[in-house]
Amino acid sequence: MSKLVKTSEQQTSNIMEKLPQEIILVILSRLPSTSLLQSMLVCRAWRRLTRDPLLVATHFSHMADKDGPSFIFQSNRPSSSYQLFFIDFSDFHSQGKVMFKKLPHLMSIYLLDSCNGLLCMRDARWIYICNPFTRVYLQLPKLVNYPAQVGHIAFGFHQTTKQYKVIQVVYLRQQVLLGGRINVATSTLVQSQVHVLTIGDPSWRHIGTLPYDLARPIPKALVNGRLHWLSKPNNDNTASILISFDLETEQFQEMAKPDCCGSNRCFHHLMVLRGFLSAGAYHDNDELEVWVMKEYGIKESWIKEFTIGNHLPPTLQQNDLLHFNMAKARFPNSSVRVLCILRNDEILLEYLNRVVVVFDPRHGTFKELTFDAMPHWYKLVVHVGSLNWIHIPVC
Amino acid sequence: MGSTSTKIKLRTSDQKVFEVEKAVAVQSQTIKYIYENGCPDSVIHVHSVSGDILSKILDYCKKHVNSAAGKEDISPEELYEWDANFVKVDQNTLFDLILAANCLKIESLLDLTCQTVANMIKGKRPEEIRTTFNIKNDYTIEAEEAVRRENKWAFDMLGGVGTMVIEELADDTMSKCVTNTKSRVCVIAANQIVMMRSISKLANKKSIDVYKQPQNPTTPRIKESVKQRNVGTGFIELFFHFKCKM
Repeated sequence: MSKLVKTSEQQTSNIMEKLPQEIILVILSRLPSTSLLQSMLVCRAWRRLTRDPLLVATHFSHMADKDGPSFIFQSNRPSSSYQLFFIDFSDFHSQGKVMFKKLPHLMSIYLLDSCNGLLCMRDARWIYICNPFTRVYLQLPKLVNYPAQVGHIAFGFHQTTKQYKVIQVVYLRQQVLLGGRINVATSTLVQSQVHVLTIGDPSWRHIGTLPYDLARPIPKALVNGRLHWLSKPNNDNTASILISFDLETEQFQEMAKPDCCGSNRCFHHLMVLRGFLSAGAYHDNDELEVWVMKEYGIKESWIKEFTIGNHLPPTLQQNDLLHFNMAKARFPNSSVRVLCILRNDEILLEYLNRVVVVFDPRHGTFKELTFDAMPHWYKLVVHVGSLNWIHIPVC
Repeated sequence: MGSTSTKIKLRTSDQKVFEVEKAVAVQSQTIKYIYENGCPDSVIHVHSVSGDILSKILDYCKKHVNSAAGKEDISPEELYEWDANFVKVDQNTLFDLILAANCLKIESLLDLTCQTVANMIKGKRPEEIRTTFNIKNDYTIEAEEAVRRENKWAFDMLGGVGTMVIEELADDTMSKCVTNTKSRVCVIAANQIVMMRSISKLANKKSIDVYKQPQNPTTPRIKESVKQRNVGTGFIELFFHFKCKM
């Protein structure tokens, strides 16, 4: 018969009971989102904690500050299921691991945008705000006058007013008839009407019209409580303009782009890199330049941070793709998108909505990322994985 | 303007007295408050902290004060490593450190110790977390099932945690593996190359090709066939957990 020797180090009771509730809250708030969800199953007390708004807000601020970003992407191919996936790079730097998870299927709805851990999605009739982790969703009121017209939709949050707003730009075009049929190519923009909804309000507000065409389906950049877009040049104007929309004052403003080469057409996308507004420019020499505005609002503070050479990832070298999109494949940098900068200064790029690549600027090397069951085409947004919801006070 | 070598006396719960420099002691906001608002010459009682724990805490504060003031030549990475070693203690001591850091209001130590516990929880299944900390499971079986079902995707540890980073190799064979068919994915794991087919195609294949990277680079790659088990309904999900070869 063996004796069980109890040493002084062996604890027989729940050691967590030593700690007050607020400390357990601090500990849980430092877990990554999936671990936080798993910790719900440990005991009932922990489950109650995960519903505490203070825990969610603290956890969110940890997640938002981390340099290991995460993304959600949605694909409709190969299975037409609008499947959502979550990728997390927080362990990439320390352990070389990228977490890739299939999210639970919500509804067959299309992903538009992400802000503060909430997704803005739409289907044919409605627009929704949802958190894919907690699967709570909110259906937004319909835009009454233009129920069928969906223009450009963006979703943002202002730190001071603590409000979430959705902005929808509806385009009214002058239809040009050509031989009895509408010629889409030459339809000119008559008006773009701007409607804003503050989440929580019962209806949209029409706040005026915009002389620009925001028809590019490029994700916006949210910096300093302002949304930014590049407008598409129209028939009278060949330049693309950088526009900002203040979520508090609801005013549009033009902003100065960097002087990179004199041409006004070279910037083709915006993003937020390490909290700064940034723009990617493509020139004829096939290089992608990334400019960063170090001080908000000051034109001179635009600095060319880095240049990315021409590179075609192996997946895109498949022959079938080349036939499909010859020009883009030959000049991949004309349609590459910079996603973010990782902790060790490596840069994440997205090529043609198909491939995610990690670029190391010090060595000039590219590494392609693929995953099991990776969809063929996808729409990718930067997303903070959290249990956040609209009423939770985040800063 | 006080002298830089002002000392403060601290008495612990087990009646031990520690004499430390003011700069070190006021890392604790609690001690700082008491010192600035009480009598600076008498002893400050720290009732809730034992001598052993306070001794460790004072080591921590001293290290951080010295490194910040430049008295010790230590790089941020070395300090980070020192911190990592500092928290390599048994659970009881760690939790006592947390309580003491909370009571004495030493923010950086509280962050460090809480993050250490969070790292112990991270990546573990609920059963493992309960075992580690001896937490009693107060869920009924039905309730536990319901919660697990609700968040199934998060518990699905197998559902895709993996790193598949494909090096941009000049090797022809390698890039062929990648680009050959849409349904094949090539993965480098340690020194093996595994070819997998996507889930739907697995139904018809009875074995998976595993290419072993030979020790001697000049010998050709060895192909082994690993038999699949449990064909079942015809769909098998293969899950791999790799460390990326960086």
